[in-house]
Amino acid sequence: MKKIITIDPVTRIEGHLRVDIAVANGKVTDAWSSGTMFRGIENILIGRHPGEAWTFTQRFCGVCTTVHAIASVRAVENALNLEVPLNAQMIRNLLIAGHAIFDHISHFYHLSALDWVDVASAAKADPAAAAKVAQIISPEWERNSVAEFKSVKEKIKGVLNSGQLGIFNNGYWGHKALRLTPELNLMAVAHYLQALEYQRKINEVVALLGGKCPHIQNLAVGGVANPIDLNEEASINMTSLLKVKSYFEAVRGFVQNAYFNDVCAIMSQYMPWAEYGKGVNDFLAVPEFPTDTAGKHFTMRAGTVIENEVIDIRGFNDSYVEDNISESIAKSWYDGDWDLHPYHETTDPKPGEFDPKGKYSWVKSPRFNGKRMQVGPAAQVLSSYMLSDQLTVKYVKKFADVVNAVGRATNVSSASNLTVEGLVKALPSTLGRHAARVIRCAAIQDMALSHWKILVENIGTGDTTIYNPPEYPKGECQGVGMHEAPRGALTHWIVIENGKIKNYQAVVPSTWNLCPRDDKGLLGPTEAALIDNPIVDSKQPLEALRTLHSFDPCMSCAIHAFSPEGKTLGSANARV
Amino acid sequence: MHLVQREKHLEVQTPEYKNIAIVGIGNILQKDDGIGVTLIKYLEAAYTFPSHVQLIDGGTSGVALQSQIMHKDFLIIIDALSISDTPGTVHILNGTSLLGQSSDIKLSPHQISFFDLLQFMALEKIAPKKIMIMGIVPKDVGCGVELSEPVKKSIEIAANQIITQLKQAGIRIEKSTEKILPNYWWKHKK
Repeated sequence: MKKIITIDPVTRIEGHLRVDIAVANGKVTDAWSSGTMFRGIENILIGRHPGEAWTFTQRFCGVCTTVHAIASVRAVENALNLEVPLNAQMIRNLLIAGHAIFDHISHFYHLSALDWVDVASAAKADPAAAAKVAQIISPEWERNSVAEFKSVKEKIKGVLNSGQLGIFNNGYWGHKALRLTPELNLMAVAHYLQALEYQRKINEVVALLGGKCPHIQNLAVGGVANPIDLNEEASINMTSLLKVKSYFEAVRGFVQNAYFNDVCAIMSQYMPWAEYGKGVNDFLAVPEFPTDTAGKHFTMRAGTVIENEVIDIRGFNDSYVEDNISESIAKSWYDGDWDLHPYHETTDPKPGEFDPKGKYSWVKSPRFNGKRMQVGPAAQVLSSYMLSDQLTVKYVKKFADVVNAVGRATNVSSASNLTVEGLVKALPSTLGRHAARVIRCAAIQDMALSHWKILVENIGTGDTTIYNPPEYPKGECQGVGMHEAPRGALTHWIVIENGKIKNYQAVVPSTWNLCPRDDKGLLGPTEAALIDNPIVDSKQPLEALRTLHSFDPCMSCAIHAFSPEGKTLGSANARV
Repeated sequence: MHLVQREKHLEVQTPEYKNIAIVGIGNILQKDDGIGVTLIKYLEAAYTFPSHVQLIDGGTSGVALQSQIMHKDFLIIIDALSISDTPGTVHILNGTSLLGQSSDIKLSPHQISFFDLLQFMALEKIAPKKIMIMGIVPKDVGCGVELSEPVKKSIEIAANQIITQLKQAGIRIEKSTEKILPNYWWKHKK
């Protein structure tokens, strides 16, 4: 047996994911998504004070830290029917925005880009020709210069010649399914490296407002703990507010030009992937960025799209969410065979064997009124677009325009003819999900600047309130906290009894997307999205990785491909 | 004469590193996986560090630490180390040489580890100059807020090793004069 020491502090944090696919005639014919590690982390919260739950929940996960803190305080506020001062809503919104932009940039460049971009090919590019192409794609991005591309090319060659491939070792170099020109590859690799810098800059928003990063310290049930005093150095004052604004502005150019247009360029060159990977056709997203104290009005409206009909979720108190979500354990390794509301769920693990016809995952199956739902930016952009959300519509149109322009410049007729309606239809697809993510990211940037202004103007009126003190009643109360996180609709469910936590459940986006089959045998969203994906080389199932990555799964995972006879064709084990 | 002596004295006292970060990584909700963060809290309580030594609770998100570790002269990472060895054993690894190792296929952002971040930073020439990894072998990384007995026993041993390393590098570290209890906030119920 091979013994490898792996120093990897993050892989073991949140359950592992394993995906098995059956391949016949160069296509995926069946798929099983399985969470292979039991989590019972919610149990730690039972008996604790609801006011401190958020300090624990943000350590559920190594990626989605801030989001679990936000959902947790909202759950308690919902249970107590407690409003949040406007300043606190805005400070939270800016934090959410900073975290989301950080997360989307990291996900696209550092996790997904090498599914489409060939680093080895970039080393053969002509920097002058690359700068010329980049001029057409992103005319406003000042870092697309010949000098920059030359230096990136040298850097790549240095890595290749050293034999120590490090971060670039992840890619399937030279894979037949990789089809960008060397020049487009070089442009994308340049942005891949630049992403590190912008990811760092936007994280400063979280560090400054959150008081600490990772794991923010400024939240409180009922508001935030950032004192506002324009004359006090240690408080939120004009200097710190201007700094926050400058961080958002510093990454704006990169997101609007490099990230946004890179996704457009990739879609234009891989148009069939705007068809593959559709998955489940019903969607759930929750509204985000509240603009009032009660959480009734939002900058990004959202809701469900079921059988092509959109239903608006009208605020944090809308019982539409509370009444319809349940979780099933039909195919999951838990004792029993129930379908229960999160308030009433139990977590009694019953380990078993991987049985593709029976139970095969630790992931439960969340349902909305009994239906499987796809969550994530595709669901958010789709529902927001159908609700005529202004920012979403603006960037959906811009995305189609840029794809058209790149299509024309590179003679790809399917790209130059892509309509806005065509793009909206393609959002739930392997590349559509990346498109939706960057559309959301760009819209969040606009939102952040307008909410910053609301905050400054509100402080200007003399309002420095940041907190409404909670009162915990005798007896029992319960609440749901919703948050449209980078990976999709997140809900935390809390039952409070005499001021202590009686039950706590987090229904996370990856549970919706990566759940196993249901009792009727209907595939989960990711499983369904993998069906019919082409696999040109079964030893290197790059295409399956593309579809998996498009869901931005927040679990560490390994994918095994096997033929219908059960013979292992190839595996891409994540870590030994 | 006095002057010469004084200069010599200064030379010995000049730290080898102008800025140092000590980062504890891991999940305090998963028993022994929380050893990195536990050690940070222990060091904070037991010693007084000069201002150019930063102690950081990196928690579950190493990737968010970029701005806090860039351009450091010396980075010490403390984490649970998953190898088969006696629980509680403290290993010291040369992080700088480990950086050349390749990472594998990634399916989830959990696998963009702290290590990948360091590789990225090295490529962009902003990585810490020297990296040391202190790994403590866990016994149990299941759900819970308490460390196992053997890992608990390793706290003082590991802390002493770090202090010795830093002192050898010429850094002034004082033992706390008062007895301060480490702030293991996650273990207490309000």
